[in-house]
Amino acid sequence: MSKYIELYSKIFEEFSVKEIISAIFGAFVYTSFITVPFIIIMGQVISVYLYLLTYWVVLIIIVMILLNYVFHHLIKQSLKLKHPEFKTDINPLILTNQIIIDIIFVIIGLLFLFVWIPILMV
Amino acid sequence: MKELTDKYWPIVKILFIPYLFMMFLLVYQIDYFINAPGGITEVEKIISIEYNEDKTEEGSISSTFVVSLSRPTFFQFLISSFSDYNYANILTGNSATYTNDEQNKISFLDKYTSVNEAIIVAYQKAAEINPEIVIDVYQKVFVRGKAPYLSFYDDIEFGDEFLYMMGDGDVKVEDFQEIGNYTIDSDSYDFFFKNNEGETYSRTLTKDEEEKKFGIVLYQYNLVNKENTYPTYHENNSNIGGPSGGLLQTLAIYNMLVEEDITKGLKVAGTGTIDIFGNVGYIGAIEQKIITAYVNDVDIFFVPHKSDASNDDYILALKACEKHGIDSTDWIVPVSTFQDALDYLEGIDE
Repeated sequence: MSKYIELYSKIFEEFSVKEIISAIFGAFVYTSFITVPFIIIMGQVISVYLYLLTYWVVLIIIVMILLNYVFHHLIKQSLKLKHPEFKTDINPLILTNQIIIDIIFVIIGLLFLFVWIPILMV
Repeated sequence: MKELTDKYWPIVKILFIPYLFMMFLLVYQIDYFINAPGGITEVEKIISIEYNEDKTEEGSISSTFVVSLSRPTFFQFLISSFSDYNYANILTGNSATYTNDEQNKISFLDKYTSVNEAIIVAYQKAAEINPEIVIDVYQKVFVRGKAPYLSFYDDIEFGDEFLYMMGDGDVKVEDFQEIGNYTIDSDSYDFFFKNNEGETYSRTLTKDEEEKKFGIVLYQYNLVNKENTYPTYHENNSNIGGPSGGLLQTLAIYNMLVEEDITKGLKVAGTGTIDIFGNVGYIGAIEQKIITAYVNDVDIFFVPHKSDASNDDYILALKACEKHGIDSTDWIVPVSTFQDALDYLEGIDE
């Protein structure tokens, strides 16, 4: 945990808050270009193949994990493009964030499978 | 943001047109409908009765639903064609004139009235062996259909209750079947309705010049008077509309009222509407319902069977089984009344 906070403080030493926000915003916008049609596609696929719902939920979890990877990869790339000379190794920080968000996705997916879908399918 | 845009701009430029095309496929709706397999829902999740609460049911009774998409997007239509289980065709008849929202309203009106009929039939049957069970029934007339030429089309909603109309000679006509006899002298008459919020309103409806009709379809439904009904029951909110669960709802409610467990530990499902006399009626999308039941491993599946005509649901169900290589023996059961289904379950050896 202390290493994690230490990495954050190092990044804030090398980048201004504005630069970090710009990197996150850019990554979010570009990831959204993929995520929005993906969500619409999955919604429409589920509506036509509802009887395979469990498989689709598992697929959605996997794709959300991949999109999460793309999002973090784009943040990293954006930061690198802003300061090509920056020294801090942000990979552990990016990976930690990714894992935390992935766990949230898995929890939400499981809640859908075992709680919300049975409630909604009535 | 700017750095990423600079880096990815060449890719964005190349993908822009295909991206727009893909989004077009995802939002553009076409005048078709798709029927696709759906799922099964245990009736006790929709209706619960405060009676026989110590009774344990070893099996389950479920209604079957399919996915009916009106005006799918081009993408939905495209992906639907990849599966032999799905059926797509051009919208015709009322489905073509009603919006998706209106079709939903009709579907939930059908569900509401179907559950009421199921409760009535089940309670009446259970009351034959247990006089403690009491059911009180009353009738209401609802708006079930609207023609495009109906006056005040947007003001009159599906499911609004018809109260009365003022006919020729200022006669108050409460029986909707008498409307034709009291609307001869003029083209316009005052109709009185009650909406979902309980507010009474009136509209002057005018007959269409060509059709010589008002363009409103009224149906009389049998509803349960909960105050004079014992045991009390509770209906949960449902996301699934339509009347096709009537037979299975009747069976499940009956099972909640009697002491024995009619499921005999089996996973019972099926389809078919129910009327107040316990007759089972035809439903749509039987092929998709058979597939739904098959993928859900049900033990018994009741199907309406009223004749040997080619459009009979049971005949269609057998054809669907043959088409998809499903063995129909011992699990697809033809029934024409609620009593048929009951007799079949009672005849099963535990």
